[in-house]
Amino acid sequence: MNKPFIEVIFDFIQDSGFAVITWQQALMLLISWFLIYLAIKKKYEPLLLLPIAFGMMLANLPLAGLTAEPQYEMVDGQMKLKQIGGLLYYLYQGVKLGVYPPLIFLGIGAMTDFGPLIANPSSLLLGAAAQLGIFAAFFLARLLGFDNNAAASIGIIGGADGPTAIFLTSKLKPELLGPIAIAAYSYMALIPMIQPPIMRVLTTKKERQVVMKQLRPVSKLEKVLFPIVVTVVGSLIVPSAAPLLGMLMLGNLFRESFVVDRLSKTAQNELINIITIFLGVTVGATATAERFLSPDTLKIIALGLLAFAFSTAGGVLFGKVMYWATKGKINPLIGSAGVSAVPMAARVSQVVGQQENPSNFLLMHAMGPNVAGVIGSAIAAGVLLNLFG
Amino acid sequence: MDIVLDSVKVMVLGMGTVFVVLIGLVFIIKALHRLTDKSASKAEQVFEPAQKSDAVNNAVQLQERVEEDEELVAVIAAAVAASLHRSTHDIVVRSIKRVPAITPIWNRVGRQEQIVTRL
Repeated sequence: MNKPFIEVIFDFIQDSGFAVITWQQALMLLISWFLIYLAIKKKYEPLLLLPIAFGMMLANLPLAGLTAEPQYEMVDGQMKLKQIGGLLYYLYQGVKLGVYPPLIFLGIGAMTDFGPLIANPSSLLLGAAAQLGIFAAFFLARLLGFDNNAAASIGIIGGADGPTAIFLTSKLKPELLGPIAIAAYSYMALIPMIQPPIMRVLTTKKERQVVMKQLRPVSKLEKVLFPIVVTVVGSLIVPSAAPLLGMLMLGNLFRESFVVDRLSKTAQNELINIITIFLGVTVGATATAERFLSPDTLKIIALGLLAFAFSTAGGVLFGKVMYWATKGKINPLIGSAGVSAVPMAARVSQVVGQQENPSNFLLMHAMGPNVAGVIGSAIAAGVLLNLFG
Repeated sequence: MDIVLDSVKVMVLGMGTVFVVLIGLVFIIKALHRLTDKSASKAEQVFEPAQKSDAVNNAVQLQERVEEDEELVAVIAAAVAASLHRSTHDIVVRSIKRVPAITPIWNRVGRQEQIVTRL
């Protein structure tokens, strides 16, 4: 609506070099300060929210030009570099080309113990059921008038997996990267508040009190074969999930093989930290005023919450099915951990279970669906990429 | 109406694929367990005597090192006592085991650099 006005001002900035800030950009600065406050004071996923919020702030400082693309001009029939472009533009290429999220997955793989999942493979079903939110939010987003690509990117928030959401959105609908990443990470931080009411409504007191049998020990051979087999099977069935799944499992093989300790430690510390900085700042920087300040952002934030709620419900309801099928051996509370926010969602299952029965320890049982959720959301992202990519 | 139908198709297809892949994995993991279980039980039989002799060796080595370690015991006991604000008489040291460092090498190098440059 105000576009000509913004463009005029944009030209003015470029011509004169004076800092002229629009009210939209000022508002964006306020939002970024609020997010910085949430990250530092409330500790909402600070490792990501802080760089994201700061990137947002940088991108909305009118003169800095940190996200500027390089500009070329034709001189005597030859392309010549006129302006080299901003720092964040170059760092952003890692997001745009889908490089960072798989590298984050490498680190996550190196940090994840798939033991509880291997010990109780049926928890994979809970990890699958908890992807319901992705497709439910997709459905709702389509009804609200988003196109397929946008709806798929919004839906993936329900996977509760930041890198997967960024990976898919950067391929399908890069314009929405800012709001989607912010919604995904904020809700992941809010999981301890979002999930428990849904879990309590959907389960009976008796179901919540179920004490589960201790998990069997898992041999090293199984742990080593697991990443290899999952990579091959997953990538054969859903090839577009291969970058995420492959890197996740490579990291896990580093961890479980015990022969590349240095690589495993680098993947889970230095590498993932470096990539997190780049990813956070550049994803935040996509939230420029003209992209972020639209009614769509509010819709995305609302749909993201619904996606989380549906995923939780999907997991818990399937947990109930398994409770009935096993005649009360499975506590449905571990179903909610099927959303892949590791290990937050598993901890929520533990806490809610312990409120009903203080001597009940569900944490390790909930880790099974939790890590299954990571695999599940990577596959869901692969399916959506296959359909709309 | 078209939108609704299309989205339902996507939902069914998406959830369906996720379930198919993960159910497939359930069976594969179970098969893996069965396969490795057999080889694992064989492996255990082979390893058992080796483990025992290891334990014996360790015990011998430990005895040899007991005297060298007395000073170490004294130092560690004193440190524990100091940090707990108790007398050393209240503490009985039964064994001392060295835990391998878990901090990554980069962090250790960084720490060392800090110590060298600042102290």
